[in-house]
Amino acid sequence: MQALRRSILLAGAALVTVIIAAEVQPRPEHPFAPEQPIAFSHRVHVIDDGIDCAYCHGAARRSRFAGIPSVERCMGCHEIVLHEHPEVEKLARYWQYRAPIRWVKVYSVPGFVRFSHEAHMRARVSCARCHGAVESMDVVARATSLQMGWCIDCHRSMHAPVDCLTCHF
Amino acid sequence: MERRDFLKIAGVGASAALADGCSGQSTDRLIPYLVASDNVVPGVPAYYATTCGACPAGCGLLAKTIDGRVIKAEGNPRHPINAGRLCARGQASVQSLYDPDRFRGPVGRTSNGSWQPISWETAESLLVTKLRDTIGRGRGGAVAWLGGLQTGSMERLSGDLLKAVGSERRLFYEPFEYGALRRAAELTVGRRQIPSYDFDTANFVLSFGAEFLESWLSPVEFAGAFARFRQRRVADPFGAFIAVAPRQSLTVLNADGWVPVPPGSEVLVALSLVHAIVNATAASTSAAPSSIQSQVAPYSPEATARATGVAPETVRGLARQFVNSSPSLAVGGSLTGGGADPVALETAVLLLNAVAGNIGRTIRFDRPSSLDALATYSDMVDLTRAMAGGQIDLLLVHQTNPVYTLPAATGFGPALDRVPFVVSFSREPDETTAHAHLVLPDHHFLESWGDYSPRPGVEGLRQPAMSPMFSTQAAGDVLLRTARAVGAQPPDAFRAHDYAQYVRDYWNDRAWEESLKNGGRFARQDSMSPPEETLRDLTSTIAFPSIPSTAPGNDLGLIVCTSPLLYDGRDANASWLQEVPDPVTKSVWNGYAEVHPDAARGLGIADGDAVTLESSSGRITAAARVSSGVHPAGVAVPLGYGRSAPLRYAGGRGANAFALLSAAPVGGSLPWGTARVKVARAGNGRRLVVLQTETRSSADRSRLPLDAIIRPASVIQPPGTTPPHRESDLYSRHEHPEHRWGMAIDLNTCTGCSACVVACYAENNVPVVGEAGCADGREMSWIRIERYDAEARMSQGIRRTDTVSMPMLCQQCDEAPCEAVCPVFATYHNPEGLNAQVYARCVGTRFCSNNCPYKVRRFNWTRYEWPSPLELQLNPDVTVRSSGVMEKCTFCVQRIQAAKNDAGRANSTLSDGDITPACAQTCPAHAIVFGDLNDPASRVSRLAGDRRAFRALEELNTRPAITYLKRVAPAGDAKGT
Repeated sequence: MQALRRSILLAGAALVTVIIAAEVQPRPEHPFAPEQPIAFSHRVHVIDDGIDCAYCHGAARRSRFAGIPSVERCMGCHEIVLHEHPEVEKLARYWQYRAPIRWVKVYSVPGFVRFSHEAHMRARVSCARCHGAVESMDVVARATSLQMGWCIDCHRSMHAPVDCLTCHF
Repeated sequence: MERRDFLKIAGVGASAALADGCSGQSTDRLIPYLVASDNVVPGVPAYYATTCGACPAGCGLLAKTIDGRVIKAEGNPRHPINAGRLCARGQASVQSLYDPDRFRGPVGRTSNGSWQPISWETAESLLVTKLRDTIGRGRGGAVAWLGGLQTGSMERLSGDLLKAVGSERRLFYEPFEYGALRRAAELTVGRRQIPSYDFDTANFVLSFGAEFLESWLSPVEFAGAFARFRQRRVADPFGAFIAVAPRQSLTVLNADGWVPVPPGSEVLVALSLVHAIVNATAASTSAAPSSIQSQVAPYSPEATARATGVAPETVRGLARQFVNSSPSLAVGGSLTGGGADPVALETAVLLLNAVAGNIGRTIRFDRPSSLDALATYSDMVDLTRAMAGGQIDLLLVHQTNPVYTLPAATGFGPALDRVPFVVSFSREPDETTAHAHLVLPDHHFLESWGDYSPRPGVEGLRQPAMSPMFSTQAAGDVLLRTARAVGAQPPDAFRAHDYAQYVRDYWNDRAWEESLKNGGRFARQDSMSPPEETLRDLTSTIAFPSIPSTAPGNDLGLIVCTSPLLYDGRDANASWLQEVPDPVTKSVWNGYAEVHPDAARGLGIADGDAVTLESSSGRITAAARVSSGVHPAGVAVPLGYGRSAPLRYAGGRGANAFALLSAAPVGGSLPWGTARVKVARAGNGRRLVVLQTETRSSADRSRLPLDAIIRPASVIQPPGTTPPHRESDLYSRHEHPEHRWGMAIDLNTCTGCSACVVACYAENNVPVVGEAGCADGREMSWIRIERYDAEARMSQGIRRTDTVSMPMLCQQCDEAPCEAVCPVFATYHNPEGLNAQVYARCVGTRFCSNNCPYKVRRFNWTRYEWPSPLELQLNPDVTVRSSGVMEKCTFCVQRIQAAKNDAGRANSTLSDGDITPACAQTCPAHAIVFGDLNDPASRVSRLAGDRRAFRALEELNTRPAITYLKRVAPAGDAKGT
């Protein structure tokens, strides 16, 4: 009786683990695509309007951060362009009340990982490799797992450093 | 339930809980600027050249900012005073910038005496109203300015404002005002100024207590010069540095010999040396008038021997050496010493230099010092009297804290209460603001425009490295607006739109952008021509103290001492300066009363007991520290403790040494060295936390540190005769295909000042654990200075100090004992020679720290907090470790990676000197060198093969990447000639 109870408890705990672990795995058919404060569409700006990535994310080639455009950068066009659009009206209100836009970060690595955009741009890694086809997204969705194994796979195949101190210090 | 079942279920349950954390869903936000600045690239540092304001030395400082906030202070390599190095307090200036106790805005005194935050409009209009009233009543002459030393713009602005209101009352006050030195210079050569000192060209240095490696005059500059003085010994053993002092300060610890004398008797030793020199048959090349011979006649070495305890042969030997090593250099008394007549001591020291022919060579009066403008203590006593007598109606207090830095007996505090309106520009609450009616908090110097020139030819510019943290205003801005509001004349003097414009107008610089980049205007140093100096007749101007005939009573002479960390206590609220151990005593977070074992025995005091010290002026309680580093007739108490202001790190710690000092000036100066105290045991005290209790090496002469000091070249053992230790290898050697990072630390030049320790705290986000944490041995410093004393011995009547300060940090061993025992491979040897510690993998078994023979690994026992806004200082390039994780020195790997990135960006390769860890960058003595051991031409490679080289605990076969270089003893030391 004791042995049976023990086995049931153990099996139950193991089952719970498996269920939770399965639940939390990133699933390709339901990527992480959070709702943003303003419904900014990359597709419209990049494919339709032809704006270059570096116009907004210019820090990527000279810093570890890619950079997010300042509200002023957006207002540069949207002072005039489509100013009656409800989302642009939201933007204008941010500008009017001097509040920066708190975008939800889609690609996030933990604090003990030091990722440098500059180093990867110098190595000619395309933005799409890690961020997917952002230019065709209406809502930015996570296209890759960002798990360490995924990083190491690419580093190994591209003969980039795999020493721990490259990213963890 | 069985234990095993419980463990199984708990294990599975834990993994279930942990699995939840692997989802990768973040709730992080990306927050852009509203309006981006062109100068700010996120994550890329910008450096601003400015001038340090932590003491009047005026070193050049480069403020490193990231994303618009200052995270690190470095020395400005272009500045002639400090040549790119900073002392511990300069490094800690980022902490005083983010001090949680800073005033958030102006405060005014309410009717019931409490502080109330008010707006700037209200605050400034209050000042303007009071000032107008005072002028209106014809009492413009009763307005006074009391501030720290200012030159340039602020000197002119404050002067112009006072002149406009009709006042001549302005005092630039520093607790260390060198008044005795200036007066002595006036008496001897007719110039009331502080001389310039040249340590590197001297062949023999004799100090009477001056802490030139810690806080005296310009410590970073002198440390650099002293390092060069010592390095000459490597090629050509000669000369020495001997200190005559009642206590071993850090500077005395770096001497080759210490002549312990009762406090106050340094002047007798100086005079007996002059006597010995002028009466020796092989006379000196002195320019001394014959009157000197008669004036020093009573002070023969025999006559002074009993009072000083120094044998006549010792005096004569020193005198001989001093003259024969020409040019030699004698420097005067301690900042807080000088005995009963500090002017006499400084005069005697100048005479000593004169009779040995040093004046105009190693000690020169060729250029004035800005410190010459400092008010003397007598001036402060006069001000106190004026305030108490109702002669001051409005006092402006700027960058000074006299209620703390004057003896209570002076009565400055009560006198201040008689002033109807006291305005302070202080950044944080201090003992003086407690008496103020209005506080208009000034910016921190890292947020300020301004300038400071320590001497002609060196004009340091000060520019803000970031926007003000709080609602503070530049004092200069307030003065300009106030002057305009009261209609001060002439209007042109206050025309500038703001203080930034005022400074720019004052500089009138055609190359303003150049000055901003350089941090100032620096003329060539050799443009001053030394004038002719003739020694004056002193018979009518000075009476040297008589030799005491009776032994002093059973009380002890008070020796007030300073540390290079706390100085006069002004930055005591910087927690790094409390947590980094005092370089001499290795104590933290508290003051002490240091007594000699003989005195302690007589008084029945044991180490750690609470003792009361009572002088004729006051009484304090402190923790006793029994040490042979103080003369038996003295008790040493450090400054900077016993602060009463509501400061979370500085307040209520230790005892205030100022309370024991009397008020009457001696020779115009504060009577630092006249107090006699009765010391009595007061019970079992709170233990003084000391981080290194054992400084004596083992008797085994083959171990550190006795081998850390080598005798001059002629008596060194030739390399072949050292018994080699067995080199055995269980594993194959590591390969380092590209770089192999290494370091060389020269114990010949390291002074133990601990600037590197504070720099490391700043650069690597090292947490402060507090006094209780330190008591548990949980201090987190990645680098520490270990003090090693050899056996005490006497040579020619002088006590050889043989103290070595050894910076100890992770040795980045090639055969690291820590790597083999980590169960999760969180520490390993990386291909560039570093012992890597991966925080994410560490599970906290602490076996690595257990196995490390150097004990340089630090464990995060808890999650340490940085009270707001101190977290703004954190370096974003370095992970902030959570609890349960091991950390240690990484050779500033973030700087290595940054340098590689810079080289990649410029499409070039790394060269020697591109990478400098924080410790190496700040060391004022240039003792730490970093580089690539794979590069045979690099400095560190050459030093690794130096004949002075050794490795720490070499016989353990850890093969460290750090090479230490042995100190060279002075010539003649081995033979005892």
